[in-house]
Amino acid sequence: MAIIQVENLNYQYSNSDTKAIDDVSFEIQAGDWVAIVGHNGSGKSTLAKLLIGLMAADSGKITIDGQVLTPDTVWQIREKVGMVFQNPDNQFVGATVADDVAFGMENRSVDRDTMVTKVDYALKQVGMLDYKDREPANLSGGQKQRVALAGIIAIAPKILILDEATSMLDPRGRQEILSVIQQLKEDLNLTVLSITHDIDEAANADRLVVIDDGHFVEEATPEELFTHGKELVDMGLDVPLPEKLKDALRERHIEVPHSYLDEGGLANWLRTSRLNK
Amino acid sequence: MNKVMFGRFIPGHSWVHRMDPRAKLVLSFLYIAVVFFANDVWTYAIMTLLLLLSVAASKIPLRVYIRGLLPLFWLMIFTVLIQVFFGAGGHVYWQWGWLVVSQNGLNSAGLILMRFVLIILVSTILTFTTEPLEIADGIESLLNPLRKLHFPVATLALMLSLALRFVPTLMDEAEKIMNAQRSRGVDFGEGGLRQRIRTIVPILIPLFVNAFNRAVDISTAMEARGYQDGENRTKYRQLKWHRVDTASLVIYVVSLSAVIVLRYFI
Repeated sequence: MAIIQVENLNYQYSNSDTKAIDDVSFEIQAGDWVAIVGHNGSGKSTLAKLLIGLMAADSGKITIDGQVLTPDTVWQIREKVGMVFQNPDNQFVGATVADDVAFGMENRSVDRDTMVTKVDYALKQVGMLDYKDREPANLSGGQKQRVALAGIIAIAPKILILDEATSMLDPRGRQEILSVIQQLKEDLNLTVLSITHDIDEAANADRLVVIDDGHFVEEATPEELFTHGKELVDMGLDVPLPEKLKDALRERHIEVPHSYLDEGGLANWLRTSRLNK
Repeated sequence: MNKVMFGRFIPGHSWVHRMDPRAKLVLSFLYIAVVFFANDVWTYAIMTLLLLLSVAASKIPLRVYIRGLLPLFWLMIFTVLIQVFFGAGGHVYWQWGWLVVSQNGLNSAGLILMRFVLIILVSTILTFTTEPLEIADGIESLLNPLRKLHFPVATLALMLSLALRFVPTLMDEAEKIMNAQRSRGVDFGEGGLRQRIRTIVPILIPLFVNAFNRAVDISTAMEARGYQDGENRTKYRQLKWHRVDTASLVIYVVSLSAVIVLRYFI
């Protein structure tokens, strides 16, 4: 059964000449993990915001779990969808970890005893129970995103949308979040829609959708798509930052080492290179 | 930043730390109100004793409180001098032109100084022993009756708690921006007042721009998590009134009533 159905969706920002979303239609089956990849400005984040009614589409029809999205049903639909955003700090609303997990439940007028049990349960699921009374200032980005996930576990939605949720994390934090999501998907039978630049995150998906200029341009399994190699970049998947920087330097006729360097290694090389002389 | 003690929270598990923020708020306000009734040695003795008792119960050394007073030292000197020289009446001890040191002047200067110190110390006890967030919770709970008048108490409380939550985030950001400017050769400690103000502008502008962008992000995230309006929500944080609160309340009410009685009936 299709849990997300989108038909002929259109959206144009008022300050732009072109459509951000141009006649897009697709279906996502319950229990699937679908990754949407694309360049910056390809319309993928716009799509996520349209799906839960954070912005209203110009035309088209969105059906979530059998319910058509209208101004009247938008709050019911948001009950069914949990969303994790890009910036870990800008979605941490509570004063402490426990408060933040409870925020979604407070909005749904859940009674306090239930909240107390669910906060503990949800924090345990993401391995953050020991941090229950911590303030966000003392947490890493990855920990904050885990708390955001706990907030979603607590309200038990059917669909999880990740809007570049791992893009501001270091590789380790990213890996941790992805394994937590993988586990949650199994346990809660979630449908996951992840909007991403990250190759690891995309590789976790059952199905990849490439979006460009507001159009869907390709749909494939990760294996099929990854055989494209260098073309991945053209489709909007990220090459690691050091490699990107090396490419940019090479374009400017600066000689760079051929071996792979991580960020620290490249920084070192830059410091000692002849660029400084 | 770390040198300012006034308004800081010092973690602990003392009697006062364990108290309900509502009790602490109410008692502090009561205390401050009654300070203005104290007018002689006895009433001030009671007030001072009550304060010292509270300081002791907070298990924070008195010298930490004194350090909290220091930034206000000049303000105190200034008020005292004004009172000394311009309070006329009574026996004149010393006179030089229009400057007169009289008995009444000295009296009222002493009075004002005592009030000043007592009021600052009692509010310092509150801030030393209560997390800002708890104070916000306490204020919300105390304002609750205003709900009947359709005053958006819960929304106000959420605003307060969001503001507190983002203080460290924005401080970090200011630090980052300053470092970025430093790496481009800005020296923040240098130059006269005008020069210093000039160097602040390139910090404030990006800070404000970022803060506004953050606000948009946060409101999106809040809506996505089902936030519709502030008033029809349940609350996860709860305040609990304990025996220490009742005990403190009794101690304060008895001592403060004694002051009123001494002032008006004896």
